[in-house]
Amino acid sequence: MNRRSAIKTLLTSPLALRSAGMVLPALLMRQAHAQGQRPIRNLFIYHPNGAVPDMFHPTAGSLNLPGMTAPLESIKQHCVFMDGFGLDGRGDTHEGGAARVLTGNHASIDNLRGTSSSIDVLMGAENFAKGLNPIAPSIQMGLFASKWSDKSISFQGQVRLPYFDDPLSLYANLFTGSSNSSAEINLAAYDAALSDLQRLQSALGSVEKARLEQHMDAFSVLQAKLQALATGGGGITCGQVDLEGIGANDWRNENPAGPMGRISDAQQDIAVQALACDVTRVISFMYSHAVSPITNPTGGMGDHDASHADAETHRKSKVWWMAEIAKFIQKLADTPDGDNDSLLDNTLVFLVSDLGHGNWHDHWRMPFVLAGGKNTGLQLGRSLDYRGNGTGRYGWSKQIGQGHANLLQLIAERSGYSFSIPLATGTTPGLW
Amino acid sequence: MQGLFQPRQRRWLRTVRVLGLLSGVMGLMGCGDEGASTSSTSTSASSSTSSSSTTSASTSSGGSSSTSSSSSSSGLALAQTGATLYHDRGCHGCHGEQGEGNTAIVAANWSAPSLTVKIRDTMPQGASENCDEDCAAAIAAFILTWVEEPDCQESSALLPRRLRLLTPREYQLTVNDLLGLPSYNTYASALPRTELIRGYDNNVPDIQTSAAHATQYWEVAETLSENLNTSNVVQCTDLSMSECAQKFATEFIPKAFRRPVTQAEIDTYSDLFLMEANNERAIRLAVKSVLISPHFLYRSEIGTVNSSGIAELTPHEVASLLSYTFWGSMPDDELFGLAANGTLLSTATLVQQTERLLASAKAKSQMNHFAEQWLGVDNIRYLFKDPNEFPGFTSSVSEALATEFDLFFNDAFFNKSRVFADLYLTDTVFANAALANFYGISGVTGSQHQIIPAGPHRGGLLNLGGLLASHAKMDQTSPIARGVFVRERLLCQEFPPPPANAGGVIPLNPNLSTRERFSAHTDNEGCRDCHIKIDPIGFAFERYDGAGQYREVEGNNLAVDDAGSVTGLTKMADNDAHPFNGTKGLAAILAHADSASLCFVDQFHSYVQGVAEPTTCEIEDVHSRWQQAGFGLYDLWLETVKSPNFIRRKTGESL
Repeated sequence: MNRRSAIKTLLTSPLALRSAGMVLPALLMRQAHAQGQRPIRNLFIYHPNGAVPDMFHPTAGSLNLPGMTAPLESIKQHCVFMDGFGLDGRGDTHEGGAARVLTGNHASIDNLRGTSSSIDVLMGAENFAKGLNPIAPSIQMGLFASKWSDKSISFQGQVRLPYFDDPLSLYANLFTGSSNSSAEINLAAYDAALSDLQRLQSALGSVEKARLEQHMDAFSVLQAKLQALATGGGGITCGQVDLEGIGANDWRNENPAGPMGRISDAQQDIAVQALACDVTRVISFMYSHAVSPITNPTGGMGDHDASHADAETHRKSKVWWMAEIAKFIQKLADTPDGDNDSLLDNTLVFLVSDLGHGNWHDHWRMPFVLAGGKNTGLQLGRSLDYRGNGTGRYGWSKQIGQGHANLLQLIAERSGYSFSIPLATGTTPGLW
Repeated sequence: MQGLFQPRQRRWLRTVRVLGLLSGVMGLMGCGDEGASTSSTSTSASSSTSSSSTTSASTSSGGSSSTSSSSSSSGLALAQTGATLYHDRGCHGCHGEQGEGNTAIVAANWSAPSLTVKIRDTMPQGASENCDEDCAAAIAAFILTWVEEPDCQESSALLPRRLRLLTPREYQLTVNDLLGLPSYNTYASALPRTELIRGYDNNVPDIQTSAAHATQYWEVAETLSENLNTSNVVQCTDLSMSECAQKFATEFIPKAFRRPVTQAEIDTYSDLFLMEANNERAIRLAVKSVLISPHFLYRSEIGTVNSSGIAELTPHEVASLLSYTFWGSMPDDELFGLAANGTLLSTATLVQQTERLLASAKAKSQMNHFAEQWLGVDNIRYLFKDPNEFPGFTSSVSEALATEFDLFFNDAFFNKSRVFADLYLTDTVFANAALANFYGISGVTGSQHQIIPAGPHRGGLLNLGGLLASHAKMDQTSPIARGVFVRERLLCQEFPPPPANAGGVIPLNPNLSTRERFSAHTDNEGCRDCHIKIDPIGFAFERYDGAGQYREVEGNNLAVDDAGSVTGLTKMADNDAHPFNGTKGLAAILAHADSASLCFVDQFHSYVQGVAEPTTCEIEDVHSRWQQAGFGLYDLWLETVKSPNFIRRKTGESL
């Protein structure tokens, strides 16, 4: 059985999968252990179409969770609930919010795209520059995140990044790294194509320069992956995910009584393993997308329609996403990471959305929550309210509050990164 | 004056945003960016704006007496005066320097008289006495300069030189042809889904290669290289490795790169080939490398620059342009042969080859792909409908709807007797038993689709069940989605994102008709400006439920009212009114509307050129020739290829 066939067997045979060792992650895991301390990871989780703020944010100082965040009850001790944040930058409505929320920058006037790299991509790039996570500097994945392909919240420069919704192909991409050819031979195949790219750049000069530079940047990630494979070894088992029973097209089955919960579960498991095995240290995970038409199992109607109905109708849809997120966070808490810590202790989770009030289409009182990341020094089990406390003015009525660019900057800094968020002007007080 | 004559407003502003001009919502909410950033950022942004406006304003006296004297000058002078007034009256504060503000303006939706009246009567908001008729006329003239004037000068009408990344579909079809794979396989399904721009998956400026693409290209190339039949790549029986390497480099790679190869490329891939232990393994390795080469992944439209500074596409680039346009895949041997012997580029040969390509089943599939994207119809087979609301929408029905869609456009696009109006007015349907039963048409048996009389409720694209179900919700119709569909896809008039606090639609209620539930939008001040342009069209579809099935009553036996009206058939903000009943009535209007046929040319060129905004000059030129030729649909494909600009690109500008 060749490697590729073996992987296919693994994907269709959970028993075999559970006993399989994944070569590359194992190597990286050993490296991480050798450093003596588990790294801080970052998980951004998007939920669609804003919220009803009064139904999302608990009162400051209280952990009595209102209707929309009630599903987080079981993991609220791992959370920091935060009212009073607005989105910095220009860019209206759903699309403008989607473009701004992880970039901390203006949306473009032309097409409401991001105008600079999003924080997940910046984190991945900084790790990649250090030689870390060559398989996946950052991962963009989710559930129905790519149904409408122009709503993703991640950007590499001004290129909108695709999100991966199919757990079968995503798993194969992250955890197999197999080939019939030796790693050295594969690198030679890469080099031949690289020669073509270099000759093309030389021939075209200024014509399509930016496009080919972008291609070269992308190619360098592939090169690093192949190089990592060339030096990898086997041994430790890591990256086991039960994908039993998942059909090839289940990831796009929109029947609310269908498999979407199973796909959510599988995607979460892949994300947890990708973080645990140090395949990546940064994941952006989208539950659907802005203006999502998806009817989830509790919503009773498409999420976007629900967001423009009354608060109770929106709540019914919101709670399914939040219940899934609670499971996700619990899985992180249940996964050991290092000698005495959980993966959640080392993973700073940030819940985001494209709007504040879903029906009002504003970017004020954003439905943000931080979770985990205890080893960044974040004190958990709190609820804060920054309304009236800040230097920015947000929402249609220009309320005073904290800007999200500073929060992104603070998250980056507390997670050990040195890049700058474009619109950040300071810090968020009282959080860490 | 800076900003007075812009080359072209971006599409979504160009078309409809002025509908939101001075809307009540913005007046209530304030028109500044609600997402104002921290104070330092906000200061920076506003100082930039005010600096610009101060400069502009300083050139004018700004009074209406000044406007009055200017209004008798040339249109240019009027517009210049209007530019000054636009700032003096503070219009830019809400509408932006060129209509891009929070209360955005889509100049293309207005004519001078209608815009003048709108400004005179309502602007500045709450103080319309500050801008009289002359003032309004001048500002209207200025705003209308934002719309691109057709410029048919050769160089500006050309597309830039560019590289076009294969779409996932093009990639799949290309490897099928290149590697001799079965017509249906899913090897390329792991490629990242392409962002749709204006509904199309092949937008050249915005579709670029990310790291996720690069690693997925590798994964797919590995899978393909391990599963292919090497004898379909190159025949090397009894050949030495060096002989096979040479054969691979000189026979396979030119097909993969869709052009002759250079010696450097031959050397590169021969060297790689010889690193493996035998021909079988070497072919798989080299194919893997070729499939991640930029020469495979991009199709080139670079050309060679002639003495006039115009880039003329090479014969091989033109071969690819033809084959990807009409097949979505690589050229075949005949196209390669004509490119190699230098005879492809004559107009007669281009037309002859286009007709040859169109005669293939590949063209039928590809042109259906265009139709799906034009009409915003995703894969009908994957549509989900609530089985409680629509128990008749079974998998066999959705399959039949998808097949009907394909057969409809196969007939419309390839039957040379079909004209543009037939898209709307055909009186036949392609149905099998399952579909006929769903449609309530009797006398059809079996699973094979057959052409039958449409009857009173079907016929034409507006009555295609797959299209109707696509533009509807899971459990009900959507007059908004259907109205917007007509405006955006069929008339090329686009809407801005909905305003804040848009409010919800009353939930399904068996005692209220859809029209009654949705009428709140039109009645709501913040929604009215757009929804009076949307809902009266959308209501015309109400005899077709959310699954596309015909009905005469809804809810608790409520009669369906499908009377509607199109206003602003050409310029959406204009007041010309065209009342009608139902989809048949709407179809009769659209079938003969110049704006609809012009929009069809516009949409087809978005698809052919891979751009969101085809050049107005090109669209009008092709439309004019097409009209003279009688609006035959098949003729449009040929007229597009005959355009001199089809195979030329401008220099000095890259995307």
